[in-house]
Amino acid sequence: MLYQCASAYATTPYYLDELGMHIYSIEELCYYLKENAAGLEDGIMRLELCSFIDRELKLPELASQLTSIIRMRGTLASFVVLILNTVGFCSKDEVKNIETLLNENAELGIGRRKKARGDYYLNMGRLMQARAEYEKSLENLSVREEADTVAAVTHNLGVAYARMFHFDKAADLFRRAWDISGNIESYEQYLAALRLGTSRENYVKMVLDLELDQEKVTKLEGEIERLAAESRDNEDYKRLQAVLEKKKRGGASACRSEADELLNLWKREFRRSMEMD
Amino acid sequence: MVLGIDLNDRISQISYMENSNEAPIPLSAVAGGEAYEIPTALGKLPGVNSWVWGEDAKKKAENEGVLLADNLCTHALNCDTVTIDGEEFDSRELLLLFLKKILSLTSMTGSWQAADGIALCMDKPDERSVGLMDFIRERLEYPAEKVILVSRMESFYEYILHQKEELWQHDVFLLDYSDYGVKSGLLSVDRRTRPAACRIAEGADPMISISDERDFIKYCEAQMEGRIVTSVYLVGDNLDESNAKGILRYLCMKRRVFQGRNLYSKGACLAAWDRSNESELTKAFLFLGDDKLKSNIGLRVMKGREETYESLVNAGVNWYDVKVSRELYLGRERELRLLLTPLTGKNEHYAVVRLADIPGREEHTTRVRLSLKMTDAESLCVFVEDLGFGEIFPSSGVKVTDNILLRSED
Repeated sequence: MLYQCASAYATTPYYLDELGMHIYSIEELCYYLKENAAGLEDGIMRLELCSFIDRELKLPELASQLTSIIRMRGTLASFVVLILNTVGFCSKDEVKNIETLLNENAELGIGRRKKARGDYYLNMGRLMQARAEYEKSLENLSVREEADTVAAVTHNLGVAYARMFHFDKAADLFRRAWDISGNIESYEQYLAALRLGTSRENYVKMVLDLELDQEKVTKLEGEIERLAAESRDNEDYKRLQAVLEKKKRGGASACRSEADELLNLWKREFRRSMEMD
Repeated sequence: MVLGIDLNDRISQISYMENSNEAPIPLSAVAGGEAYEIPTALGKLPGVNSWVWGEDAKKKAENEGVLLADNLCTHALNCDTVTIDGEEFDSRELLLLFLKKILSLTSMTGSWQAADGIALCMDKPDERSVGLMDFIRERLEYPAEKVILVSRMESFYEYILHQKEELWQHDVFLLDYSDYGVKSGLLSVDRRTRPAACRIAEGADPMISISDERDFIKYCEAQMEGRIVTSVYLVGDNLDESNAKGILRYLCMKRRVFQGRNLYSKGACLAAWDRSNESELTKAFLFLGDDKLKSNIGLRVMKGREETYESLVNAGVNWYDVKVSRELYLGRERELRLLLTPLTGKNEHYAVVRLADIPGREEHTTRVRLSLKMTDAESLCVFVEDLGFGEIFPSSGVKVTDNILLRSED
């Protein structure tokens, strides 16, 4: 099926902080709202967005209705549902589900809402923003009353640190999450963070000193071997091998441009993951 | 005011019309005179960037050493570069210059730039004509959408449509005679349909000459065979009692015969008028010339949550006027289905354009630009360009081209 464009294409796009991208059409906005409903916050209800919808997307009626919602201090759910229903980007059932989710989230405390946003950023690969949301979440959660949530946030924060290669910090967090919840997955991630954060010799010493679970340690080694074997099919690995092969044959100068290209690509990916906005 | 210009390598003509109560009026190259036939030529004064045009160019080329640029239309259609006075010129620029000169004849009646429409008439528009028209529209310093292209046959139809109905109660025969042989058109109106469908059966014979009366009459007989012809219109070189007595006697039998030289420019003028002013006449009659599209082309699309039909091209427009550009979103399928609906209403079908080269993305997240143009009355060129989905899914830059043959019964 084909779809008519529901709006003009913006000449001057709108920068959506939450997405970290510019948007040019109402469909892109709808896509963002639909895919990230769980992490949406009131902050998206901005008069600047309404002005953009009016001026650039040439949807004055929608802009006017959204402005009224903001001025009357309407809910996030009503704001989002109006956009989605006007455009028809989602089915009626999908909109209903999003509305329910947003209404439920509105009832959640700030701690859980921040967790939801942290999860969203983590899935997007935006690690610094995920970390910031998780930390705010933890400030607003009580381990006594919401132990499971605290454990989940702590665990996910550990994941964010691990992806930033801060394995020691990640290990601390995974250990803490395991202490709170007893979740075996947190323990396994703890072992993995320890393993990746130090040399093999040090790790072996830690296993003995900390009396780590031998069965889990063995399972981890097996998993690492399996992943290492799988990584040989990975595109990045193949490119790296090609560079190393070239270096072996012709020396460092022979592979310089390919090596630089690969490094720059990894740098760009890493920097993007570390951006705050 | 609207203007109609018949452009031809040999002779060009211009007519204007100010309101529907008056017939189009030809303009003379000589004020107060009857120099309606203007040689399509420019003449460059040697050594200076100064040009004369029309009859002036021809005379001064013969007598005063002015350098003649002729065959302006053919050169412009071919995008030729011509060398005059040691300098190279884009032939399209020369035709444009000639066009502006001819338009300047309207100065006594009003500025051509204030006209509500300008129709350019060419014999048989082809793909080159489309390119030339784009060039002219871009450079004429006049709203592009108000410049239209019509064929000579369409001009003939427009001219007849505005004559008294008794003259076209039955068929009307057009005979265009010159040194290059004869061209003809037999206009028939099918009043059983609503609107009434008007068709022209075209004929031509480059070898015929009025000196061979019998062959000439045989040609006319063949073109009008089995038809009742109410009137005949003679254009081109004069047929008169001195050179075509027998031919005229034959044509005048039970028919009214008219002779003139401005039929095409007047018809073009009327076409420009009808394009900008819908009337009961234009609603009641529809010209189905060879250049006209015989099918509607559209798409079934979702508008919000409702499925609807979006028209891209309506049947009845000239193929050379087809220039469509639309942006829309693809669903999951990597294809685009154009719905072709013949005027007859039968054989409605889809023409499928495969878009496998465009990267697969989620439903409703691939924006594409669909462009349509035609290279003749049956060949539809489809261009689809992947525009991506903003910064969320950047464009791949992939462009897909497909050619669809519109079926003859479409």
